[in-house]
Order: sequence, then structure tokens, then C-alpha cells
Amino acid sequence: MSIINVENLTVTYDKIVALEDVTFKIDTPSINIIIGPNGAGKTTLLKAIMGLVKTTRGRIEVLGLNPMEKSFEVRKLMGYIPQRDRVMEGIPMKVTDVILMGIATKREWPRIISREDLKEAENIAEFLGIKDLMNKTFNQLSGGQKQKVLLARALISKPKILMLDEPFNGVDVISQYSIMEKLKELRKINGTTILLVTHDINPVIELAENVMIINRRVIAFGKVHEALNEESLSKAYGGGRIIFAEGKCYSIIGDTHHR
Amino acid sequence: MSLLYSPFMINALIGIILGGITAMITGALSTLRNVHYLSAEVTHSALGGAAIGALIYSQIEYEPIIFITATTFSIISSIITGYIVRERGVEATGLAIGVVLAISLSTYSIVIGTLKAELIIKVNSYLLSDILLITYSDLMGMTLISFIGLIVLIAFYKELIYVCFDMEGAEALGLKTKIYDYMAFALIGATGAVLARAMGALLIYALAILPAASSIELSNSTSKIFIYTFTISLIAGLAGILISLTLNLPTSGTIAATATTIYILIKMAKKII
Repeated sequence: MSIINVENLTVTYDKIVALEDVTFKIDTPSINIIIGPNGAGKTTLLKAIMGLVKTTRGRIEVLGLNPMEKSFEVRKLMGYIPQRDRVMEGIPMKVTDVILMGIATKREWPRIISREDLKEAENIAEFLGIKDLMNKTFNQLSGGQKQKVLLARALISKPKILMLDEPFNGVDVISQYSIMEKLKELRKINGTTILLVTHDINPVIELAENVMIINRRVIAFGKVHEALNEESLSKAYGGGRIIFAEGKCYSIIGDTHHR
Repeated sequence: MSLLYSPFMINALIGIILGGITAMITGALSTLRNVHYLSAEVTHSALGGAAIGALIYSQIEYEPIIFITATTFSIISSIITGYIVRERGVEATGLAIGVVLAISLSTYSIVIGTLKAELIIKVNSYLLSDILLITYSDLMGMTLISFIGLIVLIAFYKELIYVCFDMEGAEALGLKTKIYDYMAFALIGATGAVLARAMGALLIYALAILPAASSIELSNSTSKIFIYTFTISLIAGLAGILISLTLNLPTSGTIAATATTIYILIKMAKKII
């Protein structure tokens, strides 16, 4: 059953085409990795799905809703982790407050937090192994811990769809694996549909059920072995190699992503 | 001792408290929103508003009009800055401030030449004021804006912090960030205008930016940034008045120097500890 339907989507910023004629369907539950070079429109695609950017052409349907018309309702059903460089990390916000932000933002003013909400925040923090950090401030944490806190914030409202934008930038390998394990559990136990944008697919290749390669247009979309081939990498990045080792598939695309 | 009970001293002490409240709002919010200099720069644009207010005053002789137009100019300037920052990113703050200052200061330059000497003094008090010269009428306006500012800050505290902390994340989570972001900019402008009336725009760097910068160094929560900014501004204000009276120095300048000294001491203490 498809949870996201995108048909002929085109998005332009000041006459610059960010996405052109993009069409795909996402089934639920599933884990979908979106890759592409810098400026390929990966973040724009996530924002369009949330109804946060104006579309020039095309149609999007999320859980049966049109995000351009019902953006607020759509966002209430979603969890989102932005790129961490968009977060003002210097602000000494308590970890508990950051997690509870995930509930408070979806409520009407005065956005009162109940004891049950606090309990839920503790449960999520425990699930992600960050319960002992709850009284610390966000700016005291390591990159991996910060990412887990942002994941907890996205998960506390129990979203049907979870979208992560470059979640592993500045995150150590151990934390990356720990986060990936939690994402697998979410998909398996809660049936959450996950869209993960990354510039480097190799760390998350084990996680991927589907891979979408985009460069303003959808170059390829499907199961890892179907979508990830040298032809599609070449179309997106201007070159690239696929290496199979020990039953795993690795791509070498020489792409960098600046923070 | 009798000096302490004189009407201008009582007005000045009330002005210090209101200055503390407004420095807390404008200083802490602009620091958290990552537009550090906005609180100071936007209050310079109150000058253009004060000049227009003085022009209207010369026709209708209604004293509060100068404060009203100065505050309105400051709010509009802050919101225009907010619009440019939202459209072009926080790195465009300098450009945004340049645009609003150009509009305001050119208005001031054109209007000031048409005003009588007594009105020129009133307008220029927004640039270099003395807290001991605050009038009853000024206090009424300052109290009203400080009170409204405080109520808005308390009522929408969570929302204002969320947009400062993570605008994109908050919007994606469902918050109508545009409203609260412009609310933050309007608050910075309105409370900045009050501070300009109390201290003069030139000294706001010391009373809005430095206490907030000191507070960030000391705080381990967002609420403490506001509390410490208020406390440091209040201490600087009271100590400044006391020192200025003892040494016969200009009061507002001494308050600014005290706030600067506190900031330097905190920075040094942090390095030592």
C-alpha cells in the first residue's frame, strides 16, 4: 500500500529548477534511501512532501492528503530531522525540552506538557539509550548524542512517516550503527515508513530496502540491486563504480558534502 | 540622601527597572535568534521615527507622539530586517540592517533641519539620552511597552525559543514559525525603542548586547539567559547611577561602562575557572 504518491512534481526557486517531473510511490512500511549530488533537490523533495515549498507543477499525496492544501495536518503525522547545521547548537536548551518540542509544536497554544508526555519522553529516550542525558543541555552533547535527541524529538509524536535529512553528518560510526538499528526496529515494530536523505549511501546500505537516485529528476528508484548501478550513478554524479564485497554492495561516487 | 527621593531620581530608578526588562527581551532574543547586533542597530532607526514624531508634535502638541512614532519605526525596521533575514539567511543581517538604517537616518537627516531647537533636543535624546532626564510621559510609554513585551514573552516563550533553536525543524514539526519569528523581531524592535529612550541608541550596545552575551556564558538553560540578562542590566543600572552620582559623571555613560566591565569580568572569570 502506498503512503506517498508523487506525480510529475516540478519545483523551481527563482526560475532555477530544483526538481523536474519527479514521479514515484513509496509503500508502507519501508526504508527508503534518497541519494544524489549536492544541489540535486534531495532536501527540496522532503520539504515538498511536507508542503513546505511551493510546487510549480505536479501532484503530491501523503496519507491521502495533499500537503500543499493540508500542510499542517500532514506535518502532524510526520517526524522530521533536519540537517544538524540548521539547528542553533549554541542555545543551552535542555534535552528534555528538545524532545518535548516534538509534542508541543503539534499542539494548540498554550501547548501544555502533561506528566504522560514527560513519561513518553523518558520512554523514547530509554529506547534510544539517551535517558541519562535528559537533564543535560543540547550544546553539551556529542554529534551522535545530538542526532539521537533529534530522533527522539521526531519520534515522540509516534509519526507514521519519518524523514531524516543527512542524519549521519558529524556522527561517529558507532552512533551511526546504533541509530540504524533503532530505525530498523521502528520499521519492524511500529511499521514506520522512513525516508532518509544522504550523500553517502555506503554506511546505510544495509538499512536500505529501496534506493532513489536523484539529480533534479529521478534517475533510478527501486530495490538496492536494481537501482544502484554504474549507469544510474554515472547519470547522477557523472561517474561512479559499484563494488560487491562479502555479499554487500558499495558505491564509489567521489561525492563530498560540505557542512 | 534627599537626591534619592527627588522625582527625577525616582523616574530614573523606574527607568532602570524597565530598562532591565527591555534589555532582557531585546538583548536575549536577538542573541538567541543569532542576530546579535539587531537590538542595537534597530534602535538607531527609532531616531527617524522620533524625528517624524517631533514634526507631528509641532502641529498637534501631543507629547507621547514622539515615543509612539519612534517605537513604531523601530518595530517596522526590525520586521523589515526579519523579512530580509528570512528570505536571504542570517548572513544577510548586515545588509538588512544597512537598508533599515539608511531609510531611518535619511528620514532623520531630512526632518531634523525643519525642527525647532527644543524639538531637535528631544529627538536627539534617542541617540544620546540621560536616564535622569526621563519624563513622566516617557515612563508611561516605557511601562506600557515593557509590560506588553513581558506578557508576550511569557505567553509565547516556548514558540519563541523553538524558532530560535531550530526554525526548520519546528516548522516541519507543525509550528507556524513565520508568525512567531516576526513576533520575535517585533519584540526586539519595540523593547529596543524603550531602551533607546532610557539610555540613548549609542549606549544600547552596552546595555542590550553585553548583558545577553554575559548571560550566555553563565547559563545552562534558556530561561536563565533571560533572568541573568535582566539581573546584569539591573546591577549595571543601579551601580552606574551610584557611581555617576558619587563621581559626578554622566549617568547613562557610566551605566554602559559598568555593563561593559561586568562583561569583561565574566569573560576573565570564565577563562580562569
